[in-house]
Amino acid sequence: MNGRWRTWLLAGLCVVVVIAAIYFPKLKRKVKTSANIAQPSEEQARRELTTAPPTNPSDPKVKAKMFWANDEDESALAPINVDLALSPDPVLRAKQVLNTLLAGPVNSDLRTLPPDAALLAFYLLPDGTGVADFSEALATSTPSGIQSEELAVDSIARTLEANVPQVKRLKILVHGQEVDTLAGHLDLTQMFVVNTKAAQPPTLSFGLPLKSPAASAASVSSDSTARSASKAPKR
Amino acid sequence: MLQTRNGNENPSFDDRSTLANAQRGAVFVTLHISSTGLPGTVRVYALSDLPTRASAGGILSWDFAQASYVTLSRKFGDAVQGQLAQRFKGSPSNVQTASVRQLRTTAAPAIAVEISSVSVQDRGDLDRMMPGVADAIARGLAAFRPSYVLPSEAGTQP
Repeated sequence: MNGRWRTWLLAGLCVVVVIAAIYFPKLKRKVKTSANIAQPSEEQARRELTTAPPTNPSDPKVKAKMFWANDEDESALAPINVDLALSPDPVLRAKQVLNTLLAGPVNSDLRTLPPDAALLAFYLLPDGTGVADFSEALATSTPSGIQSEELAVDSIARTLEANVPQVKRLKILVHGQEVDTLAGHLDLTQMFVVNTKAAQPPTLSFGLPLKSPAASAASVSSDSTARSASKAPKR
Repeated sequence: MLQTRNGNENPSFDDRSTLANAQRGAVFVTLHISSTGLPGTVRVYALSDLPTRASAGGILSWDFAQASYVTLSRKFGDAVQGQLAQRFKGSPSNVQTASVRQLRTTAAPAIAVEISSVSVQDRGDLDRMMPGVADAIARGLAAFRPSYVLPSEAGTQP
Protein backbone atom coordinates (compact mmCIF):
# COMPACT_ATOMS: atom_id res chain seq x y z
CA MET A 1 0.00 0.00 0.00
CA ASN A 2 2.72 2.39 1.07
CA GLY A 3 4.76 1.53 -2.00
CA ARG A 4 1.79 2.17 -4.32
CA TRP A 5 1.11 5.54 -2.64
CA ARG A 6 4.72 6.50 -3.03
CA THR A 7 4.56 5.67 -6.72
CA TRP A 8 1.39 7.73 -7.24
CA LEU A 9 2.85 10.61 -5.27
CA LEU A 10 6.04 10.60 -7.34
CA ALA A 11 4.03 10.39 -10.54
CA GLY A 12 1.85 13.32 -9.42
CA LEU A 13 4.88 15.40 -8.56
CA CYS A 14 6.42 14.64 -11.93
CA VAL A 15 3.24 15.81 -13.67
CA VAL A 16 3.25 19.03 -11.64
CA VAL A 17 6.90 19.67 -12.49
CA VAL A 18 6.23 19.12 -16.18
CA ILE A 19 3.21 21.47 -16.13
CA ALA A 20 5.22 24.10 -14.23
CA ALA A 21 8.07 23.81 -16.72
CA ILE A 22 5.65 24.45 -19.58
CA TYR A 23 3.71 27.22 -17.83
CA PHE A 24 6.62 29.10 -16.20
CA PRO A 25 7.97 30.79 -19.37
CA LYS A 26 4.43 31.91 -20.27
CA LEU A 27 3.90 33.31 -16.79
CA LYS A 28 7.22 35.13 -17.00
CA ARG A 29 6.18 36.76 -20.29
CA LYS A 30 2.83 37.80 -18.80
CA VAL A 31 4.49 39.43 -15.79
CA LYS A 32 6.87 41.32 -18.07
CA THR A 33 3.99 42.55 -20.24
CA SER A 34 1.97 43.66 -17.20
CA ALA A 35 4.92 45.59 -15.85
CA ASN A 36 5.23 47.48 -19.11
CA ILE A 37 1.62 48.68 -19.00
CA ALA A 38 1.56 52.08 -17.27
CA GLN A 39 -0.81 52.20 -14.36
CA PRO A 40 -3.43 54.90 -14.85
CA SER A 41 -3.31 57.66 -12.31
CA GLU A 42 -6.06 57.93 -9.72
CA GLU A 43 -7.50 60.91 -11.57
CA GLN A 44 -7.43 59.11 -14.91
CA ALA A 45 -9.13 56.10 -13.41
CA ARG A 46 -11.74 58.31 -11.79
CA ARG A 47 -12.34 60.17 -15.02
CA GLU A 48 -12.87 56.87 -16.85
CA LEU A 49 -15.48 55.94 -14.28
CA THR A 50 -17.19 59.28 -14.24
CA THR A 51 -17.16 60.43 -17.83
CA ALA A 52 -20.46 61.45 -19.28
CA PRO A 53 -22.67 58.64 -20.43
CA PRO A 54 -22.22 57.72 -24.08
CA THR A 55 -24.12 59.95 -26.39
CA ASN A 56 -27.30 58.62 -27.81
CA PRO A 57 -27.06 58.50 -31.61
CA SER A 58 -30.62 59.73 -31.80
CA ASP A 59 -29.70 62.92 -29.90
CA PRO A 60 -29.52 65.84 -32.27
CA LYS A 61 -26.03 67.07 -33.08
CA VAL A 62 -25.73 70.71 -32.18
CA LYS A 63 -22.98 73.26 -32.21
CA ALA A 64 -22.13 73.47 -28.52
CA LYS A 65 -20.35 76.64 -27.42
CA MET A 66 -17.33 75.86 -25.29
CA PHE A 67 -15.59 78.75 -23.55
CA TRP A 68 -11.85 78.33 -23.55
CA ALA A 69 -9.16 80.99 -23.35
CA ASN A 70 -8.93 83.48 -26.18
CA ASP A 71 -5.78 82.86 -28.21
CA GLU A 72 -5.28 86.58 -28.71
CA ASP A 73 -5.78 87.50 -25.07
CA GLU A 74 -5.24 84.74 -22.55
CA SER A 75 -6.99 86.76 -19.88
CA ALA A 76 -10.28 86.52 -21.78
CA LEU A 77 -12.55 83.73 -22.90
CA ALA A 78 -13.72 83.00 -26.41
CA PRO A 79 -16.45 80.61 -27.55
CA ILE A 80 -15.52 77.72 -29.79
CA ASN A 81 -18.25 75.76 -31.52
CA VAL A 82 -17.97 72.00 -31.10
CA ASP A 83 -20.34 69.54 -32.78
CA LEU A 84 -21.83 67.44 -30.00
CA ALA A 85 -24.81 65.12 -29.80
CA LEU A 86 -26.30 66.65 -26.69
CA SER A 87 -28.92 64.96 -24.59
CA PRO A 88 -32.19 66.83 -24.00
CA ASP A 89 -31.88 65.90 -20.31
CA PRO A 90 -30.27 68.94 -18.64
CA VAL A 91 -28.17 66.91 -16.19
CA LEU A 92 -26.73 64.65 -18.89
CA ARG A 93 -26.30 67.67 -21.13
CA ALA A 94 -24.41 69.54 -18.41
CA LYS A 95 -22.15 66.53 -17.87
CA GLN A 96 -21.48 66.26 -21.60
CA VAL A 97 -20.51 69.89 -22.03
CA LEU A 98 -18.44 70.04 -18.84
CA ASN A 99 -16.55 66.89 -19.78
CA THR A 100 -15.88 68.39 -23.20
CA LEU A 101 -14.69 71.57 -21.51
CA LEU A 102 -12.40 69.52 -19.25
CA ALA A 103 -11.05 67.57 -22.22
CA GLY A 104 -9.82 70.90 -23.54
CA PRO A 105 -9.47 72.52 -26.96
CA VAL A 106 -7.24 71.34 -29.78
CA ASN A 107 -4.71 73.96 -28.75
CA SER A 108 -3.95 72.88 -25.20
CA ASP A 109 -2.49 76.32 -24.40
CA LEU A 110 -6.06 77.60 -24.37
CA ARG A 111 -7.22 75.27 -21.61
CA THR A 112 -8.97 76.92 -18.70
CA LEU A 113 -9.18 73.83 -16.50
CA PRO A 114 -6.40 71.44 -15.51
CA PRO A 115 -6.13 68.31 -17.69
CA ASP A 116 -6.20 65.94 -14.74
CA ALA A 117 -9.40 67.39 -13.26
CA ALA A 118 -12.57 65.34 -13.58
CA LEU A 119 -16.25 66.01 -13.13
CA LEU A 120 -17.39 63.61 -10.42
CA ALA A 121 -21.07 64.51 -10.41
CA PHE A 122 -23.55 67.09 -11.53
CA TYR A 123 -26.89 67.75 -9.87
CA LEU A 124 -29.67 70.08 -10.90
CA LEU A 125 -32.00 71.25 -8.16
CA PRO A 126 -35.61 72.20 -8.93
CA ASP A 127 -34.85 75.91 -8.51
CA GLY A 128 -32.25 75.83 -11.30
CA THR A 129 -29.21 75.53 -9.07
CA GLY A 130 -26.57 73.35 -10.70
CA VAL A 131 -24.11 71.67 -8.39
CA ALA A 132 -20.90 70.60 -10.10
CA ASP A 133 -18.65 68.33 -8.11
CA PHE A 134 -15.08 68.18 -9.41
CA SER A 135 -12.13 66.07 -8.38
CA GLU A 136 -9.43 67.53 -6.17
CA ALA A 137 -7.24 68.25 -9.17
CA LEU A 138 -9.44 71.23 -9.96
CA ALA A 139 -8.20 72.88 -6.77
CA THR A 140 -4.66 71.53 -6.74
CA SER A 141 -3.80 71.96 -10.43
CA THR A 142 -5.51 75.22 -11.37
CA PRO A 143 -2.78 77.87 -11.56
CA SER A 144 -3.00 79.95 -8.42
CA GLY A 145 -4.00 83.56 -8.97
CA ILE A 146 -7.10 85.71 -9.14
CA GLN A 147 -7.05 85.96 -12.93
CA SER A 148 -6.51 82.26 -13.63
CA GLU A 149 -9.04 81.12 -11.03
CA GLU A 150 -11.63 83.59 -12.29
CA LEU A 151 -11.07 82.37 -15.84
CA ALA A 152 -11.55 78.75 -14.76
CA VAL A 153 -14.87 79.43 -13.04
CA ASP A 154 -16.02 81.74 -15.82
CA SER A 155 -15.38 79.08 -18.44
CA ILE A 156 -17.53 76.60 -16.50
CA ALA A 157 -20.34 79.10 -15.88
CA ARG A 158 -20.42 80.46 -19.40
CA THR A 159 -20.29 77.04 -21.03
CA LEU A 160 -23.27 75.99 -18.93
CA GLU A 161 -25.04 79.26 -19.71
CA ALA A 162 -24.60 78.73 -23.44
CA ASN A 163 -25.63 75.09 -23.56
CA VAL A 164 -27.85 74.24 -20.61
CA PRO A 165 -30.45 76.97 -20.18
CA GLN A 166 -32.05 75.16 -17.23
CA VAL A 167 -29.01 75.92 -15.09
CA LYS A 168 -29.49 79.35 -13.57
CA ARG A 169 -26.82 79.36 -10.90
CA LEU A 170 -23.84 77.24 -10.08
CA LYS A 171 -22.29 75.86 -6.95
CA ILE A 172 -18.86 74.30 -7.28
CA LEU A 173 -17.79 71.51 -4.94
CA VAL A 174 -14.43 69.82 -4.78
CA HIS A 175 -14.59 66.11 -4.02
CA GLY A 176 -18.07 66.53 -2.59
CA GLN A 177 -17.07 69.29 -0.20
CA GLU A 178 -17.54 73.03 -0.14
CA VAL A 179 -14.12 74.67 -0.20
CA ASP A 180 -13.11 78.19 0.77
CA THR A 181 -11.29 79.04 -2.44
CA LEU A 182 -10.48 77.46 -5.78
CA ALA A 183 -6.69 77.75 -5.55
CA GLY A 184 -6.18 80.26 -2.77
CA HIS A 185 -7.98 83.31 -4.09
CA LEU A 186 -11.40 82.91 -5.70
CA ASP A 187 -14.25 82.46 -3.24
CA LEU A 188 -16.07 79.16 -3.81
CA THR A 189 -18.33 79.41 -0.79
CA GLN A 190 -20.80 81.31 -2.91
CA MET A 191 -22.95 80.47 -5.89
CA PHE A 192 -22.28 81.90 -9.33
CA VAL A 193 -25.00 83.23 -11.59
CA VAL A 194 -25.05 81.22 -14.80
CA ASN A 195 -28.11 82.43 -16.60
CA THR A 196 -28.16 86.13 -15.87
CA LYS A 197 -31.60 86.63 -17.42
CA ALA A 198 -33.38 83.82 -15.62
CA ALA A 199 -31.59 83.71 -12.29
CA GLN A 200 -33.71 84.53 -9.29
CA PRO A 201 -32.68 84.35 -5.66
CA PRO A 202 -32.27 80.65 -4.93
CA THR A 203 -34.63 78.81 -2.64
CA LEU A 204 -31.70 76.76 -1.44
CA SER A 205 -29.21 79.01 0.24
CA PHE A 206 -25.65 78.07 0.88
CA GLY A 207 -25.48 81.10 3.11
CA LEU A 208 -23.66 83.32 0.69
CA PRO A 209 -24.76 85.58 -2.10
CA LEU A 210 -24.89 85.01 -5.77
CA LYS A 211 -22.00 86.18 -7.84
CA SER A 212 -22.06 86.56 -11.55
CA PRO A 213 -18.68 85.72 -13.01
CA ALA A 214 -19.71 86.53 -16.53
CA ALA A 215 -21.32 89.74 -15.48
CA SER A 216 -18.53 91.00 -13.28
CA ALA A 217 -19.23 94.67 -13.40
CA ALA A 218 -16.12 95.99 -15.00
CA SER A 219 -15.51 93.13 -17.28
CA VAL A 220 -17.81 93.06 -20.24
CA SER A 221 -16.29 94.01 -23.53
CA SER A 222 -18.38 95.24 -26.39
CA ASP A 223 -17.66 92.05 -28.29
CA SER A 224 -20.11 89.57 -26.90
CA THR A 225 -18.13 86.70 -28.31
CA ALA A 226 -15.04 87.55 -26.37
CA ARG A 227 -16.08 88.90 -23.04
CA SER A 228 -14.39 87.84 -19.89
CA ALA A 229 -14.80 88.47 -16.22
CA SER A 230 -11.28 89.66 -16.05
CA LYS A 231 -11.13 91.75 -19.16
CA ALA A 232 -10.90 95.45 -18.61
CA PRO A 233 -13.36 97.78 -20.24
CA LYS A 234 -11.93 100.36 -22.57
CA ARG A 235 -12.24 103.92 -21.52
CA MET B 1 0.96 100.57 8.14
CA LEU B 2 0.26 97.08 9.45
CA GLN B 3 1.25 93.88 7.69
CA THR B 4 -0.89 90.79 8.14
CA ARG B 5 2.19 88.63 7.82
CA ASN B 6 5.83 89.40 8.43
CA GLY B 7 7.46 86.12 7.62
CA ASN B 8 6.70 82.68 6.35
CA GLU B 9 3.64 82.21 8.54
CA ASN B 10 0.31 81.69 6.91
CA PRO B 11 -2.53 83.34 8.82
CA SER B 12 -6.04 82.41 7.77
CA PHE B 13 -8.27 84.75 5.79
CA ASP B 14 -10.22 85.50 8.95
CA ASP B 15 -7.03 86.14 10.95
CA ARG B 16 -5.99 88.74 8.41
CA SER B 17 -9.43 90.32 8.36
CA THR B 18 -9.44 90.41 12.16
CA LEU B 19 -6.29 92.50 12.12
CA ALA B 20 -7.63 94.81 9.40
CA ASN B 21 -11.09 95.17 10.91
CA ALA B 22 -9.65 96.29 14.23
CA GLN B 23 -8.32 99.45 12.56
CA ARG B 24 -10.40 102.55 12.10
CA GLY B 25 -10.24 104.50 8.88
CA ALA B 26 -7.86 102.02 7.30
CA VAL B 27 -7.66 100.68 3.78
CA PHE B 28 -6.73 97.09 2.98
CA VAL B 29 -4.43 96.05 0.15
CA THR B 30 -3.64 92.42 -0.54
CA LEU B 31 -0.71 91.80 -2.90
CA HIS B 32 -0.37 88.78 -5.17
CA ILE B 33 1.77 87.54 -7.99
CA SER B 34 -0.24 85.66 -10.59
CA SER B 35 0.58 82.43 -12.36
CA THR B 36 -0.74 83.71 -15.66
CA GLY B 37 -1.28 86.94 -17.54
CA LEU B 38 0.86 89.28 -19.57
CA PRO B 39 4.18 89.64 -17.73
CA GLY B 40 4.87 93.17 -16.60
CA THR B 41 1.23 94.11 -16.10
CA VAL B 42 -0.67 94.70 -12.87
CA ARG B 43 -4.38 94.28 -12.18
CA VAL B 44 -6.43 95.61 -9.31
CA TYR B 45 -9.50 93.73 -8.08
CA ALA B 46 -12.35 94.78 -5.86
CA LEU B 47 -15.24 92.65 -4.74
CA SER B 48 -18.46 92.52 -6.73
CA ASP B 49 -21.72 93.40 -5.03
CA LEU B 50 -22.58 91.81 -1.71
CA PRO B 51 -25.90 92.03 0.08
CA THR B 52 -25.89 94.07 3.24
CA ARG B 53 -27.14 91.66 5.86
CA ALA B 54 -27.33 93.26 9.24
CA SER B 55 -28.35 91.39 12.33
CA ALA B 56 -31.21 92.58 14.53
CA GLY B 57 -28.74 94.68 16.46
CA GLY B 58 -27.51 96.35 13.29
CA ILE B 59 -24.21 94.55 13.39
CA LEU B 60 -22.87 93.65 9.97
CA SER B 61 -22.34 89.96 9.40
CA TRP B 62 -18.69 88.96 9.43
CA ASP B 63 -19.18 87.02 6.20
CA PHE B 64 -20.37 90.18 4.44
CA ALA B 65 -18.15 92.71 6.18
CA GLN B 66 -17.14 94.19 2.84
CA ALA B 67 -20.74 94.89 1.83
CA SER B 68 -20.81 98.47 3.08
CA TYR B 69 -17.47 99.24 1.47
CA VAL B 70 -17.94 97.87 -2.04
CA THR B 71 -18.42 101.28 -3.67
CA LEU B 72 -15.48 102.78 -1.79
CA SER B 73 -13.33 99.78 -2.66
CA ARG B 74 -14.05 100.21 -6.36
CA LYS B 75 -13.27 103.91 -6.16
CA PHE B 76 -10.00 103.11 -4.38
CA GLY B 77 -9.28 100.37 -6.91
CA ASP B 78 -9.89 102.70 -9.85
CA ALA B 79 -7.53 105.27 -8.37
CA VAL B 80 -4.76 102.70 -7.93
CA GLN B 81 -5.36 100.96 -11.26
CA GLY B 82 -5.21 104.31 -13.06
CA GLN B 83 -1.78 104.92 -11.59
CA LEU B 84 -0.62 101.41 -12.43
CA ALA B 85 -1.80 101.70 -16.03
CA GLN B 86 0.47 104.70 -16.49
CA ARG B 87 3.50 102.79 -15.24
CA PHE B 88 2.90 99.31 -16.62
CA LYS B 89 1.81 99.23 -20.26
CA GLY B 90 -0.85 96.67 -21.02
CA SER B 91 -2.42 96.93 -17.60
CA PRO B 92 -6.15 97.67 -17.53
CA SER B 93 -7.21 101.21 -16.80
CA ASN B 94 -10.08 100.27 -14.50
CA VAL B 95 -10.47 98.11 -11.45
CA GLN B 96 -11.79 94.59 -12.10
CA THR B 97 -14.36 92.83 -9.98
CA ALA B 98 -13.78 89.31 -8.73
CA SER B 99 -14.86 87.19 -5.79
CA VAL B 100 -11.59 87.41 -3.94
CA ARG B 101 -12.10 85.54 -0.67
CA GLN B 102 -9.85 87.76 1.40
CA LEU B 103 -11.78 90.90 0.53
CA ARG B 104 -15.22 89.56 1.57
CA THR B 105 -14.61 89.65 5.31
CA THR B 106 -12.74 92.95 5.35
CA ALA B 107 -14.58 95.95 6.77
CA ALA B 108 -12.64 98.67 4.96
CA PRO B 109 -12.03 99.82 1.41
CA ALA B 110 -10.19 96.75 0.19
CA ILE B 111 -8.43 95.82 -3.03
CA ALA B 112 -6.30 92.98 -4.32
CA VAL B 113 -3.31 93.90 -6.49
CA GLU B 114 -2.06 91.10 -8.72
CA ILE B 115 1.24 91.37 -10.54
CA SER B 116 1.89 89.24 -13.64
CA SER B 117 3.52 86.85 -13.34
CA VAL B 118 5.59 84.06 -11.85
CA SER B 119 6.34 82.95 -15.42
CA VAL B 120 8.91 85.72 -15.94
CA GLN B 121 12.30 84.25 -16.78
CA ASP B 122 14.20 86.57 -14.51
CA ARG B 123 12.86 87.09 -11.02
CA GLY B 124 14.60 90.45 -11.07
CA ASP B 125 11.95 91.63 -13.54
CA LEU B 126 9.36 91.30 -10.79
CA ASP B 127 11.61 92.93 -8.22
CA ARG B 128 12.09 95.92 -10.52
CA MET B 129 8.31 96.34 -10.71
CA MET B 130 7.89 96.67 -6.94
CA PRO B 131 8.85 100.35 -6.48
CA GLY B 132 6.44 101.30 -9.28
CA VAL B 133 3.66 99.23 -7.76
CA ALA B 134 4.24 100.72 -4.31
CA ASP B 135 4.33 104.25 -5.73
CA ALA B 136 1.10 103.65 -7.67
CA ILE B 137 -0.67 102.35 -4.57
CA ALA B 138 0.51 105.33 -2.52
CA ARG B 139 -0.56 107.85 -5.16
CA GLY B 140 -3.84 106.06 -5.71
CA LEU B 141 -4.51 106.13 -1.99
CA ALA B 142 -3.72 109.84 -1.84
CA ALA B 143 -6.17 110.48 -4.68
CA PHE B 144 -8.82 108.32 -3.03
CA ARG B 145 -8.49 109.72 0.50
CA PRO B 146 -10.77 112.78 0.11
CA SER B 147 -13.64 110.53 -0.92
CA TYR B 148 -13.15 108.09 1.96
CA VAL B 149 -16.12 108.75 4.19
CA LEU B 150 -16.79 106.08 6.78
CA PRO B 151 -20.08 104.40 5.83
CA SER B 152 -21.52 104.41 9.34
CA GLU B 153 -20.79 108.06 10.04
CA ALA B 154 -21.52 110.14 6.96
CA GLY B 155 -19.29 113.15 6.77
CA THR B 156 -16.63 111.63 8.94
CA GLN B 157 -13.33 111.20 7.21
CA PRO B 158 -10.60 108.95 8.50
